[in-house]
Amino acid sequence: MLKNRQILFLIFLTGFLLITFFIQTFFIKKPKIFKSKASETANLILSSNKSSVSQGEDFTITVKVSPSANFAIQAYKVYLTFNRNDVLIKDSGITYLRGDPSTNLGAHDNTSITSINAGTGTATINLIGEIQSIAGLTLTANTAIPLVEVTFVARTNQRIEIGSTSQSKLIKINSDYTLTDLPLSVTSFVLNQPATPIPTPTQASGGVSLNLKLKFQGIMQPPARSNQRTMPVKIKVGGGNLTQPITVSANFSFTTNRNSDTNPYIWQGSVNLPPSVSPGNNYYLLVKGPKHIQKRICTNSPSETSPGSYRCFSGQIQLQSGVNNLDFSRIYLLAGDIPVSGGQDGVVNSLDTSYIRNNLGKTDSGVLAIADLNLDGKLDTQDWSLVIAALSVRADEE
Amino acid sequence: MENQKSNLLTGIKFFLLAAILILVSSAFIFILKEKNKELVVNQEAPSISPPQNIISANKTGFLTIGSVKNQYSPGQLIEMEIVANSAGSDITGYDLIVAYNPQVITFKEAQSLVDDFKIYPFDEKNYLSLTAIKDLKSQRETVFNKIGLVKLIFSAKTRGETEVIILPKLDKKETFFVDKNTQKIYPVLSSYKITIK
Repeated sequence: MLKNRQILFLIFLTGFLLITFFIQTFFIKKPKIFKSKASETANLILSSNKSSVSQGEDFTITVKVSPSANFAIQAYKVYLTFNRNDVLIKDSGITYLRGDPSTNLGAHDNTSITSINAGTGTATINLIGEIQSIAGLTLTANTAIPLVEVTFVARTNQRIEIGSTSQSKLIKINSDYTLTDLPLSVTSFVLNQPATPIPTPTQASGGVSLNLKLKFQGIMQPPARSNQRTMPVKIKVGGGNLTQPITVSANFSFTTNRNSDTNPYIWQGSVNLPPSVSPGNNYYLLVKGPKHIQKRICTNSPSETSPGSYRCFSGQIQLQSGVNNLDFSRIYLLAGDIPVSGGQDGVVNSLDTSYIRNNLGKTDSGVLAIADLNLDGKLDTQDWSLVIAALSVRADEE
Repeated sequence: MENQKSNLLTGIKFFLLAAILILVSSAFIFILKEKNKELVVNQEAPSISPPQNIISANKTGFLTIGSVKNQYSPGQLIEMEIVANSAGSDITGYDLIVAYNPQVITFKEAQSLVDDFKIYPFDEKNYLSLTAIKDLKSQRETVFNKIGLVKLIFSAKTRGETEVIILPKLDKKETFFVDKNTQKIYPVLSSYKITIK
């Protein structure tokens, strides 16, 4: 027979196990798992105070970052490359605008210029800045913040390219004060770029032709590949004296012009309209890029306060005989309607998002021709972010 | 000596009994937990009345819409659930068009019932167009196997009848799943009649 003491112990043990189970099941809340937000990205932007330079002339490259969301950074690491045969860093040419150079992490500053300039061929400048305050440096979504300036002296009158490497990154401060690396896009700035010839329309006497400037969402850098420097654009002309809209298409060429450093580059193209379009008033245009949502435009020089917000109803475009210069570069053509199955369907939907998701990281030309929205030569989270942003507009304007 | 032997036997019996009790308790706890899991799964997929198929030719999988009841009073919230079957395909996004009579019910909200998907609803006044995309970070396979996909919340407006219909196509928009090979999959669709009394 078991002694009373042992029986009591067994009862206690059983009771303890059951009570533990019930407490665990009904009273202890399981910790919530917080998922991180959708991918945050940041663009590295290189701008210059000059677009062309002569031998011996200096120019300043400003390194900026433009994030997709608001967040703070503790540090940045930007690796700039240049060819020493083309340019050299000017004496005292490195200026950290935000943070201090972190020399223990290999940052270059003005004391490093002689060693960087020594030799020939490609050199890299390690621009590693550390923000000294605990709160870090707050970055605002879609706002370019200058980090560093580097002044160079040109050694040639020919093409000069200052680039960045894929190792460039931001050190982001998370909400729990941990740090995360955020890779920066690879980019470059080209000086003395040979101008892309813009075809000049030749129009029969009395005919109407258009010379258009367009701005496509997301193209913040010169296209990475030479075959990305022209884009076919569909233009529908309606209103005026037309009984029904007529459609024409034209190739638009990349230009190095833009309205500001934080604006996408401007593309330019020309087209002769058929004789049915006669000079007159009250026309409107429907403009659709090859990976973009169609935009209805009603005035000769439209503008908007926030990207993609321009809307119009009644056509007020005046077309004259001969060449009509229409500047649409102050409104965005939103990207997102990509030609997944050989053509666009007029809607930004899960087919477009899935194509980018399912081909993320690819660089082959077939995939890029369909979905490289920012023309940086790869399918990445920036293209994903652009198509997600376009979901707020969703369909072609008619 | 005899007394020591008896004590040893009693001790062994005690430990054996304790071990058996622990085993039985563990088994009990395990069974209860499993049962609890089943309850959660059942709650996620409430019973839905049999759907009426609208189009069934050349279709794969299905999307059925339903509610726990089909009669409501004006002012009441109507919770409808769309259940999906992707016939074994791993889905990375889907689009839906849901038509209804806006004079009888008003669209309030759409909630994804699958964690990995985020919904972008567009209320077009007499129909609802909805795009859902899979979280870029989610790498797990998402085969819809008769799971609750979306909860649609309407409010009952005035007395009358309306059929809430998942449409195959309207203007440029379509209802489809997209699989991991970026292929569109057109499922069999359904509708559900609601009466406001």
